[in-house]
Amino acid sequence: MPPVPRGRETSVYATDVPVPTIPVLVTGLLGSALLNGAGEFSWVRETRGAPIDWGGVYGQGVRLTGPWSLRVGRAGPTVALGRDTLVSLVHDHGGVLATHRTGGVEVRDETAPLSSSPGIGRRITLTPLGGEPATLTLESGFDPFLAPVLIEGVKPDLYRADRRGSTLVVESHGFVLALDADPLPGAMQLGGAAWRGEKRVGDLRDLALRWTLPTTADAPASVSLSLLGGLERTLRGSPGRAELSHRSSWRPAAESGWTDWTGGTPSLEFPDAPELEEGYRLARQALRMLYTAPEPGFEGMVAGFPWYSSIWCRDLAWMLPAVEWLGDAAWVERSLATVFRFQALARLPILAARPGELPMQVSPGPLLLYGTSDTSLYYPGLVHRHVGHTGSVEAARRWLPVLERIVELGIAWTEPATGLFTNGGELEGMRQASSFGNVHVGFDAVDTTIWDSTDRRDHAIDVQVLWAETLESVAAIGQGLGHRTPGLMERAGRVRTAVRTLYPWPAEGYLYDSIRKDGTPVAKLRPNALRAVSAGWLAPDAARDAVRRAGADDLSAPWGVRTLSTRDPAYDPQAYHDGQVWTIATAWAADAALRAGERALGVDYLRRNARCLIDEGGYANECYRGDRPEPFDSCFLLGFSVAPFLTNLFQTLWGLSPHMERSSIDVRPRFPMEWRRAALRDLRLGAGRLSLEWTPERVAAFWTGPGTLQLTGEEASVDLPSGASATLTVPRAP
Amino acid sequence: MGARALSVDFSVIWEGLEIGEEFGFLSLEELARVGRCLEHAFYEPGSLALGPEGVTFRLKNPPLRMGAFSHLRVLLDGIEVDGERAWIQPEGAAAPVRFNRIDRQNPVTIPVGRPTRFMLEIPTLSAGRHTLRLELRSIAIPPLVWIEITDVVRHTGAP
Repeated sequence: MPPVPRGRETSVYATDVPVPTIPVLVTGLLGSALLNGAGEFSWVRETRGAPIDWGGVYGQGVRLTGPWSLRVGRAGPTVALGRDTLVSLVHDHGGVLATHRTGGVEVRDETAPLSSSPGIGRRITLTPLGGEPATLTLESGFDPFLAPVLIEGVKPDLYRADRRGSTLVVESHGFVLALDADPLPGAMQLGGAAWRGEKRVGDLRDLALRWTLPTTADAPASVSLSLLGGLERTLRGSPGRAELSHRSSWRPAAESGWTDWTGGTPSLEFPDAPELEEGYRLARQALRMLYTAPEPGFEGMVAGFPWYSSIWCRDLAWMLPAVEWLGDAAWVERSLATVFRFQALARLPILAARPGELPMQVSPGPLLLYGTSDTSLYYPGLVHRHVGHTGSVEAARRWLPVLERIVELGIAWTEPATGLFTNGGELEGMRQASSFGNVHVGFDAVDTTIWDSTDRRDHAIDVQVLWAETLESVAAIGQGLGHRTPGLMERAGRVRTAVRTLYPWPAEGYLYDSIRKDGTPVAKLRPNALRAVSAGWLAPDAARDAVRRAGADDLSAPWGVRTLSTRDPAYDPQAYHDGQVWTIATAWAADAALRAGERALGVDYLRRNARCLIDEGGYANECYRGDRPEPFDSCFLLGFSVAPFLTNLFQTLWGLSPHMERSSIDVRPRFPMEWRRAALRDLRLGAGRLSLEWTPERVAAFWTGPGTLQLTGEEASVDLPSGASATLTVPRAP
Repeated sequence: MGARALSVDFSVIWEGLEIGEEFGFLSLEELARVGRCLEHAFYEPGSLALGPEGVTFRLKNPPLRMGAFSHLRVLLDGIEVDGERAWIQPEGAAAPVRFNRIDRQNPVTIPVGRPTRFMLEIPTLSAGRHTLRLELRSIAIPPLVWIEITDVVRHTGAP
């Protein structure tokens, strides 16, 4: 991968050499396209152990097409554009420009996300080389797909295609795609047979269009296409024709969205660790790619690409803290509102929903699925965090009933004797839902924590941390609103006490991963126990022991942290949650190490995260084999893999914790002893911006206001008036 | 229809109403739409047949889990068919593969959107409805995935 030059804020990837193995992801808020580094709408990826081509166009959470090919000819057979013809490819925030040369023709193939419709626009410009006029042939072909990404591994075999006016429409089970072209093609085929747009029904494949285009060197030919779709109601009002009418604005609209957003984010400087600086820049960009707003009132972030490109609310919960740090509080609030809309109020076995539960997955429709132990428990903490970043309690006031229902849900799943939250059995009611006439499908999932393909019953340790955070957050929010929440802090205290009593694993200097209902510890060494370290539940010596134990090479690999120790009999380097390295686990280790005082180790983990982003061209894989640094069964971009790293830079390395509801922020940096300087500029907090510059023993700060901001360090505090600078004394690194 | 089946149907109706009231009837519509999509997504209706090769049936998509599988098991009317006598042939594969030849080193992929044919060396099967249960274990995500199909067998010719 050629490195992306530093300082080029709008660039993502550029090459003069076709690299079909590199994914090239074009995203807008409503739709996306996946290409490869040869400019082909095709990208083959090992997926759960087998190759699948994920190339094509996606809109509103629906895969609209399979791979989409272009062929060009000049007085002879056409040639496929791609790995044999590419001369340059530039991927930036406006989209992708691939330039090809073949058979005396230069082709510029520009792809941009549509800003108003769920899909993409494509402009193909053909120029004859050599100065002579020529009649050129352009052919376009793809298979319709039309399945929601929410459902893994399904492609329908019944489609209906016809032409409505000049728009080609293909529909399957209420999911549609619409293709508009200017000029209109001279010929069309469907399934290899000539087609004039009359209605066709069946397992329709290979929708092919053909243009014959007279050109001169001074007058190249241009074909513009809009391909969009998703839910059937998307097509009302012929959006494709409207999109073509302002094709010249496709790219500028996409770019301006990025430019405006990036301009509102802070900058970070780590002269002693330039890879962290570059990692931050790439992580920020990668997170923005995951933003989604597929229909009005529906905003959030997709979990990842290519096969998790819908809203998974657990994944969203890991991403929103990073979005707060990037200063986009408005997007956080709209995302939270979207999720809270779909809180179940009653038991709905067909959706695996319990009263008070937030969905696991949400897609436009809306299409909802529930049935996880932990997803709901993230959200009270997110609301509390949002108050801290914005200083406003109004959203929290509106959402308090939602949060209280989550607490009721949690209490219903709490073991009375210990106060521990019980995970497991969330999907038992779904058998009914999985029956389709004479066909029943299912999978044996007994438990749905973050490692949802393995059994971590009955009281997984990280879920206890989340449960205690839920209780404490709702109590704090209630207190801030003058609303009584009796007993919540006591319950949280019981959880902490139970973990401190029942989970220590003396033989390993670590914590058990879970406890059975009968009190039997589950002696599995997983990184999840580090969440209790990060929460500050362990005494300092025990915290350091746990961090060092996790740093041993049975759990920590040079490329990241495994989901299970290699010494466990169940360890399998290919098993999703029983041996693979997960990038998010590396971020957990970084956070825990820094908080436990192991700064060198913590920064080392941060560097591992950053190296992933840099080596993977600005993306970050979901997971890798446990025995070698090779992605396996892994989305190439996952919010889980990007956001926690970014959050760590602000929250843990810089040691920032804002409390804007009382106009203060904790500033407790954890930079390594050998570092000399770090800077953070234009961090949005409340209605102002904060800039910090750290050198050993001092933090110089500037605040734009309004009002005075109090900075609180380990041993001192200072008031920072609006428009003024001040210096906070901080301890030298040990 | 038995009373028990009736009670199941009513509970689904009530749940549907609850979904409509909580999330809007568009949500109910979407749920029904996806259900209709999935009803025909996995098994090719009418493909259960008894012919010279034995019992055959086809899948159109992998059930709930894409990718490669290291273990397959099939039961016909509750009785497991020996892995030596059960075969799978995805479209494009050169030859069918016995179930008991499939393991982590030799997994089998059920392709998305392409038919996969199954053959069970069972010489006779009575007319009427029969139930198949196919269990699959992914090489990447261990929990068992399964599909149960009830269909009327077509007799396509004596062995």
